[in-house]
This record gives sequence, C-alpha cells and structure tokens, in this order.
Amino acid sequence: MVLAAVAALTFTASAALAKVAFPGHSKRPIRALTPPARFLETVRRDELQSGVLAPAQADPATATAQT
Amino acid sequence: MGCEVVVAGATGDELSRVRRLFEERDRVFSRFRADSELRRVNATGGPMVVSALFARALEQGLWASEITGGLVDPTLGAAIEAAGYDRDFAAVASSPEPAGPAQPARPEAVSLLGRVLLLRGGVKLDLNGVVKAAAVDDGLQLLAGPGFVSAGGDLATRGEVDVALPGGAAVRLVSGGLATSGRTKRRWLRAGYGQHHLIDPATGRPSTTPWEEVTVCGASCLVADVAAKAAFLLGDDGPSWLDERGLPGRFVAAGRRPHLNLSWRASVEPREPACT
Repeated sequence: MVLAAVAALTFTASAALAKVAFPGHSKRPIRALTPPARFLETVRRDELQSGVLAPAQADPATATAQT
Repeated sequence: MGCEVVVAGATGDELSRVRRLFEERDRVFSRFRADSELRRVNATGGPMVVSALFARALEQGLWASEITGGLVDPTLGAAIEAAGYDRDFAAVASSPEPAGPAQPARPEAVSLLGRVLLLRGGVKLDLNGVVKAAAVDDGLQLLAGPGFVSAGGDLATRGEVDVALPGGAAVRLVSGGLATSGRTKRRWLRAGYGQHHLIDPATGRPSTTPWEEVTVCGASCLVADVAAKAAFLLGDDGPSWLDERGLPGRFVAAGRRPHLNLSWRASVEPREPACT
C-alpha cells in the first residue's frame, strides 16, 4: 500500500517535471510571428501611399470635379 | 479658407456638417483672423496649451516635414509674410517695395508634447500645408455614402470621379485623393520680382522651381497635397522623387507639354495587350 502510494506520487511528480522540462512542445500560448502592432503603425504612418487613377471616361469639359 | 469648397453625394445634414467643419478649421488656423488660435500661438511663443485640433494639425505638419525631408515645413509663417502674403489673398497687391528678409524653415524650434507647445526664437507657424487637405479628408468621413469633397481643387473621393486637370486634360480618380500645388493662382510682385506662396524651406524665399503646377494622387488628400508640394519644390527631381514612392505625378511648366512621371503613365495610359 505504502509502496503503491510512493510509486503513484513519484509518477505524478515525474510527469509534471517532464511536462515542464521536455523541450518538444510549447509551454506557453503560441503567438504568430508578425511584427509588433506599433511597428506596423509606424511604417504605415511614415509611408506616402498612392491612391488609384484611371483614364478619364468623361470629356475634360464635362468632368465633375477640377483640381 | 479663401477657397471654394465643393461637396458631392452629401445629404442636407451632411452638407451642413461639412460646412461647419470648414468654418471651424478656418477659425482655428487662419493666419489673418485676429481671433484664430494660430494667431494667438504665433504671438505667444510659448510654452502654451493648444487645442486638441491644433495639436493634431501641428503633428501632421511635423510629420509632413519629416516624411519629405524638410521640404513641406510648418515653420514658414514669417517667410510667407516676408514675401508679401501677410493678409487675405484678395487684399494682396503687387508693390514696388522689396520683399522682407528671407526666413528659412526652423522645425527644430518647435517642441510639442501632447497639447503643450513651445515655439522658440520667434518662429511662426503656417499650417496651410496640411490643414486644407486634412479638412477635405475629414469632410469626406462625414459622408455616409459615395461622394467627394474638394477644397480649392484638392479633393478626396469615395467612388470614382472624373477630374479636370490644369491645361485641359482629365483623369479618373478611382480612390484616394488628388491635389495640385502651384503658383499660377497666388502670385504677385515685390519690387518687380515675382512672388508666390510656395516657400523653399532652405532659402526662406518663394521657390524657383521650373514647374507651374504639380498634381499628385495619394491614398488621401493629405498625402497627395504634401507630396505635390514636395515635388513642386524639388524642381527637376520632383518626378523621380514621386516615382521612388510609387506616387503618380503630373508636372506642368510654362510653354511645355505636361510631364507625366512613370507612375502616372502606368496608371492612366492604355496598356499593350500581353502576347499570346
């Protein structure tokens, strides 16, 4: 009885230790390898980004806006 | 703001909100209204607490200076006054008097921490390099559906719009903003020398660029306007500067056909069909 209890205790402790020490799996929640949000924000802010142009469909004299 | 504002696609309520937005921006950022926050800031020097709106605009102005390597700068208030644009443009007249002393840009004289501002050495701010374009972008956000907002010819759109260009051509703005910077509308003489409002930050004098008008397409009106000013000031290097950033640009010089940079041509010229 005592031997069984010691064996069970030893097994439980060993299993817990193996879970912590074994390098083959993640010990913490997995995070995607993306750049930090603040870095992305800085890059976007620092870029002069283009809009989209296309050939005009209307005659220049009838364009709806003027720059 | 001394310019015509055009709004398309707005409901009556939205149009009223856009009108109030532009009126508010004029009250805060006018160089000529005695009660504007800009006038108070320039007269005070600092340190002072500015409104959240003012702080945001100054941050945009400092961003424009950083992103353009100092070309578009918010510290040229004294320079533009020295050139003669010291009152509403309708009242600016040519004069036999020479322009005032040159006033180069001094962005290092500005310290902004949150809403606390310090201006050193008598520097004067002029935020018109960003305020009008930002107002256009903000105005567009007040529209729930498709439409566009244009102020002084700088516009932002939600939905496609055909835009007449300087010199008689037109282009379709599919998304983003389109802005034109130039010296054909606001020019005057001082002692026989031509002046205009686009100041070279290095010299503190109106730029001697060969361009009359530069039109740029950006992801927003603010980006387009900042890039257009920078490209104008860069002279012959303007087209390539825009191409390095993938920005379409159209350059008009007196007596010459408009010059389209590579990015503009790639956007609007018909493509050759692929070989099959």
